[in-house]
Parts: sequence; structure tokens; C-alpha cells
Amino acid sequence: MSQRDYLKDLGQAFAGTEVKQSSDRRFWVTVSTDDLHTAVQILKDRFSIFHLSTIVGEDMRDSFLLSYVFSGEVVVTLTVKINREKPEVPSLAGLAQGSLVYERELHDLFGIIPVGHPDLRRQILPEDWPEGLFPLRKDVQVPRAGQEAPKGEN
Amino acid sequence: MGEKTIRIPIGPQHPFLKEPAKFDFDISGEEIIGARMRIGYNHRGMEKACEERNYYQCLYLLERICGICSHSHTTCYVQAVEDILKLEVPKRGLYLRTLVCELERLHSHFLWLGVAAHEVGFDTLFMYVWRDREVVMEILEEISGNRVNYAINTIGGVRRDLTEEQRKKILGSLDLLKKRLDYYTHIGTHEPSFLARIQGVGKMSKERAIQMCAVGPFARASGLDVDVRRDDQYAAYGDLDFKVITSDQCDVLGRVIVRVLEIAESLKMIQQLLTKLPEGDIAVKKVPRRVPAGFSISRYEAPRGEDVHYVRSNGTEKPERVKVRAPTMANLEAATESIVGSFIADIPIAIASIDPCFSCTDRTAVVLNDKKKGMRITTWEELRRYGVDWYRKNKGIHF
Repeated sequence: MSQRDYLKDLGQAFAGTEVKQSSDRRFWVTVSTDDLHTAVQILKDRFSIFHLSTIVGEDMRDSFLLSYVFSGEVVVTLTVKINREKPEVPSLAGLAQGSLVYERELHDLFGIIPVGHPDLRRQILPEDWPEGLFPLRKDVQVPRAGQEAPKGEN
Repeated sequence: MGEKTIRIPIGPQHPFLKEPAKFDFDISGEEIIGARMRIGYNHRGMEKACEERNYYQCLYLLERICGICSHSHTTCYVQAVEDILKLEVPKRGLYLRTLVCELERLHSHFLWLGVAAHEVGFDTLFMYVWRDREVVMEILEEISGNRVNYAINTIGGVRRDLTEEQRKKILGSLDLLKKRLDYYTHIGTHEPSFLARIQGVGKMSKERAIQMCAVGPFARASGLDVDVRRDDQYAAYGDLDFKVITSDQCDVLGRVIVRVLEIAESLKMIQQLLTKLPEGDIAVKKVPRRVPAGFSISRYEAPRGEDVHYVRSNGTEKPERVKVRAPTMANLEAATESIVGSFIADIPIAIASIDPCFSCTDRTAVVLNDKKKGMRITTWEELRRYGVDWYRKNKGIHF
């Protein structure tokens, strides 16, 4: 286990935002969409945490919650709350190229637009999937037996 | 695309990845100058389906994400749920869970070595490796009753105990595997024909691997010293003595070296687990059906790399959100890029080198856009044969 007091150091580096620890190696930092790039840069420069494990998207019903899971010696998750009406978030394309696949996935399944992403082709859903239907949003119901499942023209 | 560039689409119906994937290769002569990928043909909506099921039903659903690393996904998931429930899993349960983890890695790496040998036309090695893989499969069947989808994990521990006879039997089988492994290590790193096909193919530099957030043996073969088993210890790995294998080769040879040496490490770990196996319960006796509100991120080193599960509970019997990030997803972009600069004949081995699933390889369809003959459809098997023949004619490599 590391000697470094991550909770204290993260608290200093991200002064003014909420920093939590849930277990030995799990830290959670709440950031705003505007500060996301700066936060990623701080993790990289001051904590040498640069491996983006994944981006978790969640529909909290009143908003979307994105969790950027960065792992190194410890796992620091940057959580970003975004507006449901205007689901936009800056893309990490320039900072961590590994984010591209996860952002495309979010774009497909939640309809969240990563601003600045170079290639937003469909990744998971079929090309002829109905526009504007985002399966992982909570208001999309799983079709029951006898109900028609969403599908494309072909 | 310039005038002399031809685009070859490969797929999507050729699950050489866990999911069927489509690749577009831009080629100029024999050289690949561009590659793009498209996945999602096997998207089964499991994350959404999990929101409709209780925690135990989810466990059996997630077991079926992949036939090769089924134990990886369940372990990763139960770790997240146990973390939310604050359950203390008994030591013996953790040891048995880790035992299946390492056996799974063994069978996955053996499978991969066989497939890699087959892709370059070295079928003798393929037959040998898959014969020995049966030993591992039999051990897994002995422990869990199943060859794949072991269903050994449960929330709070494992479902089956190991008897003394089984323990002795497994220890006996390990000696055979160790002996065979020495031979494979020698072949994998010294056989000149094999080396000629894998050295310098599928290059991925350390810097690019970091930028692309690559994971697992693929990243370790590019010199990245990452391994969740050591960096973020879970299950019984804290009690085990093992090395993280890396290689600076940055090509398919590096990936062969890393995986072969990892098999040796796994064998060592299995030996330690079986000799140190503590007495006691294998699972927590009473696990509540309702999980209090909370969230957790769990990481796991699957045979193919870091597996990440995220679980958010809402106080009911069903999870609010389950997110799965399988290792192949993280490596896909990097693997696609690593092929650029290789020859068409290298496509099979270069793609195989990230260790995707080859369950239905012969259903691959490659469309070669040949001006003289018009559109021509060829299968993965034909492409493999083309690769083997091309190297025989042009480089004199013959097994």
C-alpha cells in the first residue's frame, strides 16, 4: 500500500470540490463539465494517474452522471453531472485517446454528445436503429413478450 | 484514399473477437496503410437486462458474457456487490475463487497459443497445445462440474468446496503441465520459422499503448508494467508470490513471450493456492437479498486484461445500474492501429494477437476488391491459407 495520503493530496489539488474515499484504493471527485479537462490534466501531472479504465454513464432521471474511472496506484473517479436537456460534455480526445471508444458508446446508448470527438459513427447500435432512441435511458422500457421490440427498417 | 489504395472490409460475421467485428483495411500493394473497426454486432443489451433482474439472476446472466472468461466477469461483479454489502468473504472461499481464476487464465492462454500457432500455419504446435489444454479443462470440470461457465461464484463466496482427493489430483496434473510448458517456451521463443512470422509484426510502441489505454498481456508486451492482480489486489492475490511479466518486444513475439511466461506464473500460483488452502467456510452463511443503496467499482485481471464492473444499488433487490467494460473493448483501437504497416498476410496473426475469441472463425467473409476478377468473397480460412502460402513463396517460411 502506498505511503502517500491521497485523500489529503486530492483534497488540496481539487480544492472547492467534493473529494470522497469509499475504500482503500477508491477515490471519488466531483467536477463540473468545464473543469473536466483541467481535472484530467491534474491527475496526470500531479498524481501520475493517466490510465482511463472506462467511462460509466448513468441516467439519474433528473440528469446524467458520467464517471471517468482513472486508475494508477489508486483509482480516482471523476464524476460529472450533465444536464438532461442539453447532454453535452467535452471529449477527452486530446488528453487520453483511449476515451474515444467509451465516448462513442455513451453517444450510442445515452445520446450524450462528446463535444470535439473526431469520429461519432455508430459503434454499438445497428446503422438503421431508430434515431433518438437511447436504450440505456431509464424512460426506455424493455419490451415484454408480445410487445414489439424496436428495430430498424431492414 | 489514393488511386492505388484498395479498401478491404473484413467481417462482421467472423467472431474472431468475442463479439463479431468489422474491420476496414486500406491497402496499397501488400501493405496495410489504414485500418478502422466497427463493433456491436453481438450487443445483447445485458446492461439493460441486469436492471430488470435481481442480484443472483444478474450473476448467472453476466456469467454468459463470454465463454472463455466467464469466471472473470462473475468475480468482478460479485466483488462490487460484496463491497456494497460490506461482506467479509471467508479465506477458503477467496482461495477457491482465485484457484478458478488462475485455471481459467491457464486454459485461455493455452487456447490462445494454439490459435496463434494455427494462424501462422504451425498446426503441430496447435495440436500439442490444445491436447494439453484438455488437462486444464478436466481440472475445471472436476472442481465446478462444468468445462465453461463454471458457476462457482456466488455473492459472499463460492458454491462448491474442494475435497482432499481433488486437491491431490490437481497437484498431480500440474507436474505434467510444467513439463510440457518448458517445451512450449522453447518453441515459442526459439523456433526460427515461428519467429520469422511473429517478429516485428503488429508493432505497438509503449507511448502509443499508454495513450490508447491498452490493458493486459497486450500492454505488457509493449513494456507497460501493469497488472491489476498486483496493483489493485483482490481475492487471495495478496498472499501469493508472483511476478508480473513484461516484454519490450512491442510485437506479436512479445505477446507470445508474455503469455507463455504467464502460464508458468499461473502454475506457480495454483501450486501455492493448493498447498496453502486454509480450512473453514467457503461462503458467507446469510446474504441479504436487498442491497442497500451504494455504488462500487471493481477491477479484475482477466486473461485478456483489466476487466471493470460498476454496480449501483438502490436499496431494492435489483441493481440500478451495472456497467461492464471487457478488456477487448479497451484494446480494440490499439490493436487496429498495430496492424497498420504490416502485410495482408499478417492480418490473421496480428488480430489474433490481442487474444480475441475464435469460436466461429470459418464464418469469416473477406471481400477482396480485385479489378481483374471483380468482387471476390473469401473466408477467414482462405485468408489464413493465403498468409501461410505468401510467406512460403516470398520468404521461404515453411513448417
